[in-house]
Amino acid sequence: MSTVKVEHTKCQGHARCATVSPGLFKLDDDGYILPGDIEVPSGEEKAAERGAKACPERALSYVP
Amino acid sequence: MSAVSSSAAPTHVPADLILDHVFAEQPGAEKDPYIANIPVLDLPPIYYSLKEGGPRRDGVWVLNRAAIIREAYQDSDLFSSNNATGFLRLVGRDLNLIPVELDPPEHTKYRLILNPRFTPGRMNEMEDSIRQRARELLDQVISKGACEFEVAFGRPFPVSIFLDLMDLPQDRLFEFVDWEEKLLHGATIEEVTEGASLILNYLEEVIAQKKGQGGADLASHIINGQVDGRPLTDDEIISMSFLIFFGGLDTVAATLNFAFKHLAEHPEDQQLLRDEPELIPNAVEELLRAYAVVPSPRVVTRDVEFHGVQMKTGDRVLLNVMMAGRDEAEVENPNKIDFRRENIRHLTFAAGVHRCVGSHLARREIRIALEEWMKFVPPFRTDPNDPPVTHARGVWGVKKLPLIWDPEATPGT
Repeated sequence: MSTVKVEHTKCQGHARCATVSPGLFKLDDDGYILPGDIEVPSGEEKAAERGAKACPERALSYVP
Repeated sequence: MSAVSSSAAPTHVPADLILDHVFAEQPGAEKDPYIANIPVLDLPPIYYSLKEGGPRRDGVWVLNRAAIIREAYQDSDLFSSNNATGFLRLVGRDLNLIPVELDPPEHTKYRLILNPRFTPGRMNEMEDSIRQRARELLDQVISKGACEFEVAFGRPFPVSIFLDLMDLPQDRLFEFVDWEEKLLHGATIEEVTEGASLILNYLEEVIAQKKGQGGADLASHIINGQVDGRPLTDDEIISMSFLIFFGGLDTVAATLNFAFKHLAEHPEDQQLLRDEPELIPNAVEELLRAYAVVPSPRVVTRDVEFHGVQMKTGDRVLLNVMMAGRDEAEVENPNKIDFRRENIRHLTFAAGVHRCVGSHLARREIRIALEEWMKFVPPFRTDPNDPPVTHARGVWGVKKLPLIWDPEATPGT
């Protein structure tokens, strides 16, 4: 299973990941990503990669 | 590019890094400052300018590549925001703009008050009222077949949303727009100060009225804010309220102006959004990438070598965000504006702890503006007898944008 590595301290609430791929990336009440790496369900790899690539902080990396 | 006299620069700045590129004075900057400034990206990644320091007239280090700008944004220990604009002091108030002129950990305490009010989820709740404001303004102009975009829409639209956000009466909209005009575009420091005073006095009045009323609006939310277990002081409340006003109006207006100028000058792009309105959210990101309007100021906090350049404590720094989206190392074919572009990622809303708190609101405003215009206004273009005029000083913008269309035509054609 592929994963998205989340460097939580680098998240600044741009919320681009959750906008590009809303099902995969979950935000807290302040609009920042929830901590913890994300396991990508099969079939969602493309969405996971696009969401990770959308981060202006480079806080997310997609690991196939 | 010739080096200029180094006599006015600090002694640690090497003469060969002092360059006289001035964004506002590039040939063609009054037509398209982004195209006019493409040559700036051939200059070194970091150079020193004696002319881009703004009203302070200090020299500044210009950070001139996207990757370096991102690094600086993410290192608030080295690149401080403390009193980096000095705006409230310029207009006679001894206050920082909170939280944008604070560094962590102080910054974080105030930022946490604002964050929950500006999430994408919150913006969903505002969607209908934002759309309503857009329609009210459009209703005034559609049948005329022409408008000065900035006056008719670009400026009043974000101001009307600010008034809703703070639960202030819309009947003073154009009075507010006048104050903002003085504040941000006053010809003299007296006029700027007058604009600031009018707004600050009004906000003080409003805050006094709202205190203890338990309102649900943003002003009431700030009034009820706490840091370190104590209520905010009046000065803090004023500073934060003023910043919401100051940060969200001219910036959105300028971005809308560039976006609509682009659509007016590129009928094929405009038609694409009419034919495929589902592309509008991606078009918003592409327009934000290509037309960043806000430079970020910072102050160096310690003597340091940064990317091979010796900087000293107190040196002023300007992040050339305007051209960061045009950096080929970051974006493929950056001067092509392509609403179908994939994986758009930009620094237009900054990065690091000072990421624009209003970014989700700004996106929503721009998206709704595009949706409503495409839906209700026939294909529009610039007026050949009265072409648009842009500028590249401070927050880059459009001085005038007369648009024309056939009021008998249907929006879909």
